[in-house]
Amino acid sequence: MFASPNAVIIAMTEADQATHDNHAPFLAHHFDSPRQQFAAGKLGMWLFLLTEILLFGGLFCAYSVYRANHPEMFQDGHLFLDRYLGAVNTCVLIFSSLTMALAVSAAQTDRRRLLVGSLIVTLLCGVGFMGVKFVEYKAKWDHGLVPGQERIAWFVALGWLRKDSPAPERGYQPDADYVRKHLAEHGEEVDDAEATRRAAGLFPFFGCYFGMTALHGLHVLAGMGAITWVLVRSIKGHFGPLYFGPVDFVGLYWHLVDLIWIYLFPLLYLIH
Amino acid sequence: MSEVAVESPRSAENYLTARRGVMSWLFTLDHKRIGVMYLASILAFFLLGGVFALMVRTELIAPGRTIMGRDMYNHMFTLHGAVMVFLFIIPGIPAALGNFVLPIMLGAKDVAFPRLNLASLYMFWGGAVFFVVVLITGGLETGWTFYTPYSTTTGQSSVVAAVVGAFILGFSSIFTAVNFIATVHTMRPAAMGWFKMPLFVWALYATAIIQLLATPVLGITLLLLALERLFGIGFFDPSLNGDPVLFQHFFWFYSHPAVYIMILPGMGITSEIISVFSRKHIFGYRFIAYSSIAIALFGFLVWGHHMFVSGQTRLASMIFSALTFSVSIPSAIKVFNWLSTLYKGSISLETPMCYGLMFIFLFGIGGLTGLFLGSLSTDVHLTDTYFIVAHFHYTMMGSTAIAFIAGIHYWWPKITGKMYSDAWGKFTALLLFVGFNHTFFPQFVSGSRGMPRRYYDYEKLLPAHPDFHGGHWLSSLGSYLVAAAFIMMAGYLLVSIVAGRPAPRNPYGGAGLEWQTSSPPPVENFTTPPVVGDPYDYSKLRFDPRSNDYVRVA
Amino acid sequence: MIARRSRGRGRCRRVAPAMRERNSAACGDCEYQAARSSRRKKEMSEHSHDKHDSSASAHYAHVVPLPVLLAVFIALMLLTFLTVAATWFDLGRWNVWIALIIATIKAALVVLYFMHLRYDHPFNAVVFLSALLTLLLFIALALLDSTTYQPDIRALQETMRNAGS
Repeated sequence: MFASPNAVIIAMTEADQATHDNHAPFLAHHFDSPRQQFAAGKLGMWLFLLTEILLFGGLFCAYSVYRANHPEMFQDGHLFLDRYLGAVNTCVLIFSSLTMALAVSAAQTDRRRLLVGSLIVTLLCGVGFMGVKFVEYKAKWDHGLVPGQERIAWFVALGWLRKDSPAPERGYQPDADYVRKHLAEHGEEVDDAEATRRAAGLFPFFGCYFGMTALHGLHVLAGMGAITWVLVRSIKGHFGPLYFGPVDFVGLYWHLVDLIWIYLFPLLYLIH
Repeated sequence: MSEVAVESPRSAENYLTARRGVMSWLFTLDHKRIGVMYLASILAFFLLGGVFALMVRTELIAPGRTIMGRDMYNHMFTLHGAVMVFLFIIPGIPAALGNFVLPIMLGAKDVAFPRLNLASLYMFWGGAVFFVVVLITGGLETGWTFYTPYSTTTGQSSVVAAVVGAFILGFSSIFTAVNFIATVHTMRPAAMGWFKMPLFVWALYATAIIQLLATPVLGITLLLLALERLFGIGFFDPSLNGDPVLFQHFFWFYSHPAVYIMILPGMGITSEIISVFSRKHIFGYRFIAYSSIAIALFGFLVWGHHMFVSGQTRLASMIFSALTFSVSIPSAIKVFNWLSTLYKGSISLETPMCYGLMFIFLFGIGGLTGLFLGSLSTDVHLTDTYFIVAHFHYTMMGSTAIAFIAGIHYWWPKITGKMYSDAWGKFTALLLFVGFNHTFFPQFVSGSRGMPRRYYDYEKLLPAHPDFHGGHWLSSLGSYLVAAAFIMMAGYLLVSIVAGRPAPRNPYGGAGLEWQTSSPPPVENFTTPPVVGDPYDYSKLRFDPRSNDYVRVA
Repeated sequence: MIARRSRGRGRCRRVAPAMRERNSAACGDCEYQAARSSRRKKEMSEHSHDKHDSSASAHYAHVVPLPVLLAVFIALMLLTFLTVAATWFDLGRWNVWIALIIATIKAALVVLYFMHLRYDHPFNAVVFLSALLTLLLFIALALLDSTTYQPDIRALQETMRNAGS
């Protein structure tokens, strides 16, 4: 939503601003006052967040349906996730929410250094979060736990453009050896046949896990993009007590990303 | 942006002429220009969807192969449905007419987020590009409803491209909705409280609520469908412990409220037109306003009525069936209020009113036939027959599309500054009415006698049901009448743009704020601030035959 | 910045829509200040010809005080620890509900304080809650349906297994 079409238009509007005879900074000409503009922007962002809640909500629904109907498959799944890494990520995001809220207060009270500093820290937290995610994802990928892994690899390697490489078969068969060792670590000894069966049975759990965390990760990246945009404008000194809407609204988006993770963490990592 | 000063309603400087050049249109922030571009795009896709419809009807005019094979037929009805639903009727009235009229009705200079509005238009075009890609590459033969596991496993078509296109179109819908709600809340003039707003605004507001709540669920559904097709991530594939009925829950959770996205703006337009052309205050304003919100909310409770034979449990089916009856109540309230408005009104049958009256009649039929489909026992027999096809065409085409046409004709002088020929308009309306009923009424009959939908051929059914051939023949003939009517409509509307009489400020005597500005409006919408009053109070308007205009008297 | 509650009004309701500008006097009750730096004073003197604007926009949004933000942060950290600690004990089916309840408390804190919903125009809260309600409706009915037909699926799978063997 903050991608290129708006970038062209924002540039035009800023040029407008330089020559426009407005009293308040960045007051759009179709608004009567900064208060009206801020109220509209705030409401608009909340309406957009509503749609994000429902987007993730669909995945939460799928999760609920599968967990209710196949609880045993979800029991196994969480053994392969590190709850402490998940907790670290949770703390990182909560901290980033704090710094984002600080950034908004800083913009409102005209403290530019605090604003820029807070935004940078928020960004770094985002980087940290994605870093931990990368570590987790890599561990899963190495053991074949990602649903559709072969097809994803084939797709990314552009196999679909080459005539000589057919699409891999659908199916899910992670590394049975790894599964057997992992189950043994958690106190359950199984033979090879059982390990293979249990490995295949991890499918609904990891389908949900990757669906939800990947979509969430994409939103974190989008949020980081938005924060970068706000950061650039903060450094240029656009924001102050009369105009801080964008900081506030991007902050709302970032808090939503945190909010969703607050629910993802127990549902995926803390199944007992 | 542009200079404001000239008072005369025939000022040369209006939103169409203020800035010139393709770039000034492609990068405009003016809601009026965005509305016009939407209108043109949406009508282009209506034409495309209509062509697919004619292909379907021509194939079915006789048993056996007529013009195409069975695979092509599957593509034709699927693409007809997908193009009409996603590229015509869902964006339809809100994007094309709402964008233009809503801010002016509120006395505002623009919508709350003009850049978001432009982004919404770009998203529309982006989604449309994907559908064009679908047409050029594999086509689509899953039915517009994309049911799994067929849609996740068929090798025959470009399902992923279609699904990505629909996903992008969802953003277009959401951005429009965000804009409308924010505009209605924050940009009304001080004198215009909630119950002084025109009912079209109420309708668009209720529609926006649905767009926001429902569209994201479609988004996630399509995303999961694409992932399943591309990477075999099986949420909906039974062979991978997935659940195809869950797909239908996901799909219909959006697609049922979507039909209210389609009909509510049409009802809003009808409220405007019935009142203006009866020269009478709309009856039961508050009831109509509240019923719009009620339809929006109740519409979320009933999606399971599309799934009575899908494998959904009897318990859920009973719940959904009972809730479905509740949704008919607010719609009926509206119909009673329109009829009461007409009663003892001074009715003048200009073209918009012809379409407005057509709406009430056809929506009555469409809505009442929905009751047969809402009750479990009858639905088991009628589902997936032509009865359903007729029902949704009466409501989507006979109601929403007709209301869209009514709105186009009503606001045409305002948007283009030209008057079209009312005689041609009325004749075409009559032809369209006859053609439409000719096409779809026989389908109720065939459907209730068992003619299934989406069937390429009915030759094998003829020994037991010889009347099916006649029914299809009547239906196809009607479709050619409809096509003729639309060609005529395009004709006289386009002629009006080049050779039409210049439109006065208020040709039909409306009392809303949009009739207080020139036709077409200036870029800033108003040169002098409009006077806010009751949008259905016609007592202060008198027709002036010299200027063919309704003028305000004290 | 220490926020003081306005007298007799419970909490500051930011006057949001411009159509209520005429009621901006009502906001005089509220003692929350949006800015107090010298830079702002400089800006105000530059725009001093526009008195209406500077007073109307002086505070059109509440500023969450720093102690409140820090308190919420500490609470969130504690609740995170609590939710992880709860997994060290086996409480059967209660584990998932405890986790969800703690998550909801955390979410409420983020929404009310970090996202300002506590100090905001009430309609924004309506927007947020309606999203949750719609979601709950969707999950409830889909869950109801799918759990009710599981026995049918299992019976069918059983039949197919028996037929195959």
